[in-house]
Order: sequence, then C-alpha cells, then structure tokens
Amino acid sequence: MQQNKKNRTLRFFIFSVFLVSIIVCFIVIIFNLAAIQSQSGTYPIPTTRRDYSVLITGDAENEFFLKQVYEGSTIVSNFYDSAIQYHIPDLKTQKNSMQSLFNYASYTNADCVVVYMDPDFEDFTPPVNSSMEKIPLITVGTYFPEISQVSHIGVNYAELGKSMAQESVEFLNGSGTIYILNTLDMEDFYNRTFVNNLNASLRDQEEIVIVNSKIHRNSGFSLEDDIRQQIASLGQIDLILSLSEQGTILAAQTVLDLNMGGKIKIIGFGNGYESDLYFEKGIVTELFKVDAVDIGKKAVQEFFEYTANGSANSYVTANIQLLRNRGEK
Amino acid sequence: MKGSKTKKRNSFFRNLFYAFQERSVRSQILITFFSASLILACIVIFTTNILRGTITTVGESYQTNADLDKYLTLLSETEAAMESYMQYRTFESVDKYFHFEALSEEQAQKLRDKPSSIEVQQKEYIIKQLSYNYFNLSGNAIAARRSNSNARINTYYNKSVECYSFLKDEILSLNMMYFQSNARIYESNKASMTIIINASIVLMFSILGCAILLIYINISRVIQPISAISTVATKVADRDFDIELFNSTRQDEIGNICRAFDAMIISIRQYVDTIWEKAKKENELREKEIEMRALITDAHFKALQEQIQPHFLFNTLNTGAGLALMEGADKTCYFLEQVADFLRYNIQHPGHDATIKDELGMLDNYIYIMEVRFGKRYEFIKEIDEDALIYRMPNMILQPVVENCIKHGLKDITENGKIKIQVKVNSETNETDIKISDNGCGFDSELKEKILNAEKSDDTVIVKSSEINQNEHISTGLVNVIARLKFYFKREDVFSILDNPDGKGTTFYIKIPNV
Repeated sequence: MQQNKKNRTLRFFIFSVFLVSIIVCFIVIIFNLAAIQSQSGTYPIPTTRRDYSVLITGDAENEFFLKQVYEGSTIVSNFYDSAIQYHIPDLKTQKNSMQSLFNYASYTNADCVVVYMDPDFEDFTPPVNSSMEKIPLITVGTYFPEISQVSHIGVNYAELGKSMAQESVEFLNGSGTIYILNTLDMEDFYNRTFVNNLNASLRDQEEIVIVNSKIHRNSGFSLEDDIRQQIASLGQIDLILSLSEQGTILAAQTVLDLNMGGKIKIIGFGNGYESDLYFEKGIVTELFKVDAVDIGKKAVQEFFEYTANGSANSYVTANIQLLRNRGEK
Repeated sequence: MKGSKTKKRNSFFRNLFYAFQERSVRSQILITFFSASLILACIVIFTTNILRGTITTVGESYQTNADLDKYLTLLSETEAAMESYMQYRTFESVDKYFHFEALSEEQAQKLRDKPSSIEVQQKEYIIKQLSYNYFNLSGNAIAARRSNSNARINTYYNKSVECYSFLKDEILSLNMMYFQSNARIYESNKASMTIIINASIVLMFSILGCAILLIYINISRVIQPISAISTVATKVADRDFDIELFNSTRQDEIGNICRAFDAMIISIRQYVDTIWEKAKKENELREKEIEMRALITDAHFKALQEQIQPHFLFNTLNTGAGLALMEGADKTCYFLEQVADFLRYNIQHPGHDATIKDELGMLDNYIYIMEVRFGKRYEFIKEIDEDALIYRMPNMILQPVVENCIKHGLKDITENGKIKIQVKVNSETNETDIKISDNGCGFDSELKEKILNAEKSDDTVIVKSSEINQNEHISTGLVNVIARLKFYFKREDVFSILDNPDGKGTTFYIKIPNV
C-alpha cells in the first residue's frame, strides 16, 4: 500500500517535471523565435521613392532659420512627391562661398535649390545639373536681381517697419521712451525702407520719446560697449526696439549686463537660435520673426508651380510672426 | 468532432505505445537512447543555429558601415590615382585610376537611384549623384591631362577635387548615420543575443531534463518488472509460494519472463501439492505398516507365550498318538495326529503367507478336531474350485473366520448347524472369491460396524481391538484377519461381512487378487 503510494507520488512528480519541462521548452522556443525575429542586421527602415530632390542650402550662420525652412518644405514634400535635402556647411566660422554651395547643388543634380542669399555673396555661377541645364533657383534673404531665379521669397520691410512701430506704441500705451537699436546696413535698399517706414509711423506719437542708436563703427570701442554706454547714459528707457537679429542679441545682453532685466522691455527682430533663446527666457518681451516654416512650404509650392507651368511668382512675401511672452501670437 | 479527433489522437499514441511495448527490450532501450540523443542533437543543432544566426546578425550590424568604408577607400584610391596622374602622368597611375574607378562605380551602382523622404536613403541618393559627377569630372580631368589642355585640366581637376570633398563629407556623414543607427541595432541585437543565449541554456537544460526523464521512465519500465521478478524469485527461493502472479500483458522479453515465471510458480505449486499428497499417503502407509508391525509383534508375542504350550502339547500329542497306536486305538491316534498337524501349521508358519490349498488343509484339520469335539452338531460343506488352490494369501485367515462361525454364529445351535466354504475363481475380475457362511444367529450389526470401522478408522487397530476385546473378546481374531488381509493386498475391499439373503446366518466374503 505504502509502496503504491510512493510509486504514485513518484509518477506524479515525474509527470509534473516532464510537463513543466515541455512547457518551458515551448515557451523558450517561442521566445527565441520572437527574439530572432526582432533582430536585424540591416537598416530597419522602409523604402520610399520620390521623383524630385529639392536642396535647401545656405550659410552656417543661418542654420537655425534654414532648418525651419527645411521643416516647412518637408511638410509639403509628400504632397509634391519630392525629397528634401538639407545642406549647410558644418562650421559657422568657415565662410562657404555661394559658389561652393551652388557647386554642391550641381554635383548632386538637385532638381531645385532653395538658397538663403547672404548679402556678402558675389561672383557666382548659378548651379547646373549634369546635363548642364540650369537648376531652378528659389532665393530667400537678400535679393540678387542679376541672377536668374524662379522666385524670391522676401520680407515686406515697409510693412514690417509699420508693424513694429505700431506694436511699440501699443506696448507703451502711447507714452514712454523707445531706444531704437539699429545695426543694419543703411546702404541697403530694403533696410532703408524698413527704417524709414518705422520712423514715419512713430513720428506722429508726441508722447513717445524716440532715441536712435548711434553706432560708431570706427570708434575703437566694441559694438557691445558702445551700445551699453548709450543705454546706460540715457537713464530712463522703457523699451528697446531692435531692428535686427544682431541688435536683439545685443539688447538682451546689455540689459542683462546692466541688471535691468524686466525693467527695460525689448521688442526684437530675428530668426536665429539666440534671439529665440532670449525670448524664451523672457528677456526679449516680444519678437518679430519671419515665418521660416511658411517660407519652406512656399518655396516647394513655387518650384512645383514652375515645373507645372514653366513660370512662378517672381516675388513672394514671407509672413511675419510676432511672438509675445504672454504666449500670444 | 473535437472528441473524435482527441480519440483518434489518443488511439494513435496508444498504438504507438503498444508498438513500442511489443518491441524487444534491447530495441526499447536502444529506441529510448536514440530518441533522447536525437532530441538532444536536434536541440543542440537548433540552439547552435540560433546562436550562429544571432552572432551573424550581430556581426552584420555594422555591415553597412563596412561597405561604406570600403567604398570610401576605393574612392580615396581613385582620387589618389587621379592626382598622381595629374602630377606625374604615368601609365601606372592612369591604369590604377581606371581600375579603382571601375570598382568604385560598381559599388556606387548599389546606391539608390531615386530621391527619398527618408534621410539615410536620400543621403545615399546624393552620394550616388556626387559619385557619378565625380567619376565624370575626374575622367574629364584625366582626359584633359592626356591632351595637355591646361585650361581644362585646371577646371576639371579643381571641380573633381571639390566634388570628391563633398562626396567624402557626405559619405562620412552617412557613415555616421549608419553608425548611430547600427549602434542602436547592435545594442538591441546584443541584448537579444543575451536573452537568446540565456533562453537557449534554459532550453538545453529543460530538454536535458526531459531526455533524462524519458530515459529514466523507460529504463524503469524495463527494470521494474525485473526487480519484481527478483523479489518473487527470492521468495520462491525461501519456499514461499504464496505470491501474486504477474499476469503481464507485455509482449517483450520481460513479458515472456513474467509469463514463464507465472507458469513456473503454478507448476511448482502443483508439484508441491503432488509431493504433499504423496507424502501424506506415504505417511499413512507408514503408519499402517507400523500398525501392522505392532499386530505382528503382538501376534508373535502371543505366539511366543503360547509356543511353549504348543510344543509341549505337540510332543505330548505325538506321545499320545504313539501310545494309542501301541494300544491299537487307531481313532485316537488319528485324532491326535490331526491335532498335532494343526498345531504344527500354526507353529511353522507364523506371520507368513500360504497357498489357499495350505489354508484349506489346515482348515480340514481344524474341522476334524471340531467334529471330534462337538460330534455331528455342525455340517461343513466345501465347494472348492481347484484352479484357486495355487493362489497365495496370508496364513491363518480361514481358521479364525470358521472359528468365529462356530463360536458366535452357531453358538446356540445344537443340531443342523451348517458352515459352508466356497472357493471360486472369478475370471472377470481376476480374483478368487472365498465365502464362508453359517446359518446361525447372524452378526450383530453394531458389532459388525465396530469391527469394520475399527479397520477404517485412523486410530490404531491395536487400541481399537483392545477396546473391542473388552466387549467382544472373540472379535479380536476377525479384526486381526481383516487388518492382515488389507495390509497384504494393499486394498480396502478384501473383506466384507454380509447377512445371508434368507435372514439366517452370516457370510464372510474374502476377495483375493490372483497374483
């Protein structure tokens, strides 16, 4: 009887162990197969195929802006069966020539080049593909009338000047002191238009005191010191209105240096990373910027309008964004 | 439907099991080991393949980097050859250029032909475009150098160098992309590999456990009956036959052994029973022999007691017979001679056998004496078959029976008493029938029962006879006669006492086998 009981227990034990082993084996095999399935020796991405390659290029200085342009063009690229290529030289200090960027576009046989034109560029040959045909060019930034381009996407500076003036007046509620920080090259036609329209809009405001910055380029002082001295000597300033990216950064740094953060408000202009950073930190109260994402979209749209019709809008106005630190646009 | 499928499956496994069980033990053990080995081999092969695949996959993680690196090396060689040709214009360098350019082009063909929205693929497309432009520009530079066209040399050389620079940058950029992606893949694969290795170890141990269990179960199945047989054999060796039979249904050697063992145990049991029966019978015979010897000893004792008396009487009778003869008393002389013959028979054949003829002769002596003694009170009638005279029987059988008739059957008869002696050979049964009957008062049934039961009883005859002696002293002779007849012929049916059909007297029926 006891022997039978022992045998039964042993059989039960053996059967249990056997069953557990089989289950473990089964699970492990499934587990292994799943693990193997999850393994991959090659690049695990799907393949897509597009018919057009659009190159977005420019100087490293405008990398932040061009990235946004790239983002915008990527948004619409699927719709236009195009792939967007982004090419910016690595180092900001390495000043690539316009020709070099165009050569790159030529060597890569881009179907379209969206390029940020720097005013310093000169003596360049537009890009051509391997068949020696001109590659459609869409320019952003400085307009060069001497080169053949499908479209130029630019800012309406007259409108921008008016908008900034109006925003400044509203910001000060009609009274106060505005320090206009202008680092722009006034020999440039667009800059002059911009500044003239701004001044014209502010001229009627009797209770607003306007102080224009005076940049002494050959004074022996650095630009930062020059601006700091001016602001410090002025005493009461309610608002600094900066007209450029460089000016916005300078204004923010000066306010911080003078420990006037929060006391002196800044309305700036810029599309760069730094101006965005100061705005996010609240040092720049309001920021005017060109809508680069929209420019990207418009550039692709213009290229495909050109491809479809053989012509496109030669001048396209870029949208201006106003970022307020209260979160309003 | 589902039930029938399950039944079919069960039936299949049951058939498989029976098929396995019907094989020889050697085959069963071999199949078990081969199955276990096969399972282990399969799992080792499976695991090895998995590990090999995993290692290969992990190794392939950086294959794209390796391929791109190889391509860059070829391009570098192409560029170096071109520069060398530009500088020295040697045949070797141009040959080297075309060699590497062809190899590079072969590699470039593997790259994407069309743009893609995926960054890496777009990069491949760009590299391909740059590569073909580079091949074109460098080829033009080589051609310009061959034709010594300086203006074209500068143009194409500078462009090809610039293009190569872009190409190199793009390749490095793509390589970095690949590297980042591959690093992730590598880490993922490595983690998977660790999991797979650990899981494989668990799998190996599980399968090993299963294989060991399989071997254990099957070997136990084979060994267990042997162990049971061993236990039973030990019991049998200790003369313990009270064991359960195996009743095995197995078809292999173990089953055969079990069945043979069962048959052997049954056979041993039967043999033991036979021996037991035989021993019992022998024991009974031995007891009867002892009993017989006791009777003989008793008879001898009595004979010895009476020996002096018969010898003395015998001598006296002979003297008397001589005296009678001298005196001319012939009848007395004859009588004394008959008495002397009767006594001589008694003295000369104590405990031996004799022929029926001898017994009848002695009976004649006795009858004469009785006739002289009691006169013509009884009539003795003899019907003797001459063929029966030669057969042998124990001596001193007939006289006690006749004496019993005279002393008991005819004790109250004063005239017309008859004692009939019939001896006849029964050819059908090959026996000699001796019937001694009287027409006396008959045999008391109770006494008859006692005499016959005294013989059939397991108790010794001596005791019984002594008991009978106390009641019926004369019956001792009959008991003795019956016992000796049975012992002599080793049969039970040699003596019977029957009442006569007419209701008067008794017949003593003795059956003597004719041997």
